[in-house]
This record gives sequence, C-alpha cells and structure tokens, in this order.
Amino acid sequence: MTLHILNRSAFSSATPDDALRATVPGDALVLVEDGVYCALDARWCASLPLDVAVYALSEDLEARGLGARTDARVQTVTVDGFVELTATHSQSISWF
Amino acid sequence: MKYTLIVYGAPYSSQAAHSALRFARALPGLGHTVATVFFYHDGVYNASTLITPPQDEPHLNQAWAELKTTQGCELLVCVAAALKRGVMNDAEARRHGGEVHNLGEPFELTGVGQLLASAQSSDRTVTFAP
Repeated sequence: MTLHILNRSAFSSATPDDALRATVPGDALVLVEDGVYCALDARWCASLPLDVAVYALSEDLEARGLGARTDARVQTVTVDGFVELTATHSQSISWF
Repeated sequence: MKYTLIVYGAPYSSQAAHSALRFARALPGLGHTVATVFFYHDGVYNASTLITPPQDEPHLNQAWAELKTTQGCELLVCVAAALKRGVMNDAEARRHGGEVHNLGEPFELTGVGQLLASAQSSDRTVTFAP
C-alpha cells in the first residue's frame, strides 16, 4: 500500500489529477500545503476513487482559513496523524 | 521506525523545509526517529551558514542544527547540487581556488550514494518538495 502525498492545488495544477490516476485500491492520499485546496474542489473530489482514503492536514487547512470547508470525502489529520500514515503504509510518493 | 527525509525546497521559497521540520519534530513523540535528512536540488541552500532571517522569522539553518542535537540525525547535502549553487565547505572551496565557504558542521557534503544507503537502512523515506 502506498501513501500519496500531494502538495499542489487542483485549481492551478494537473498534478492532483495525475496523482489520482496513479492510485490503486487500498492506497491512501494525504493533502498537504497548497494540496489542501483540493478538498474544496468539487470536480476533483467527485473523481476520487471510492477505495482510496483521502486525508487533509489540519494544520495546513487552518493556516489557509479552510478548516470547516472540506468535502465530505476528505478526512482531516494532524501532523501526528500524517506521521502515522507514513508508518502504516510501506512506501510513499510525493507529488509536486 | 527510522526515517530518512529528503528536502528539495529552498528555504523561504516554499513550505518544503518548514513541512519537513514539522514532520521531523513530530516523530519522537510517536516512537519514531529521523536518522537522516538529505538536502537535494534547491534544498541545499538550507545548509548555508550565511542564512540571516529577520529575528521574528524561523531560522531554518539553526532549526536543522537543533534537529541534529535533539535527534542525532545526519544532515547530508548533495555535493554536486551544492557546489553548482555556491554552497560549499572549506575543503571544496580550497580545491576550487575559492577563498570563502558557507557550509560546515553539522552539515556534511556527500554524494547521492549516501542517500541510497540511508534510504536502505531506514524503514521509511519521505520527500518534501517545493
């Protein structure tokens, strides 16, 4: 299982779409830095595979004033939760 | 678990270095450690001892040094990426006929082979890019 780490906004980059196409069932994806803007993009969120868990880093959401505005498909995690995701997945890919 | 972190982002240009530090500082509380931080591409600028931010902003060069003090990690800098960007230690400066240098302890100039060795001896490798 792979953890995909994404730091680009779907509003300004094609990288979030590329990342989704590279996922396989059981993978997880965590939105960090400007990647948290993806959690507000209805088009991108509608294309999320159902068998991929999606998280957004709460510290980066808060820093951008987006705390309560995430799509229902996106769960929030703290930095500690992000660390644990890297520990529970055998490898990670950073998309940028 | 032992972690290797790779930093591609220049200081103050992107969030990469801040994100990597935030991640590294969270590791011990969860029973993990950072074994190696490898600075690559524009990330090598993190190692410049000439970094002088305003006093009310994070001092990234010092923050990395403190990370080594608290967690005992290696701070490795890719020598090829560093030299062509003007980041070098005393020995490299002399070898290339220069009179000044801006890299020293606790940072070390190494090759990419050292990154592979670190990744192989770590449980996890996480990349922080600009």
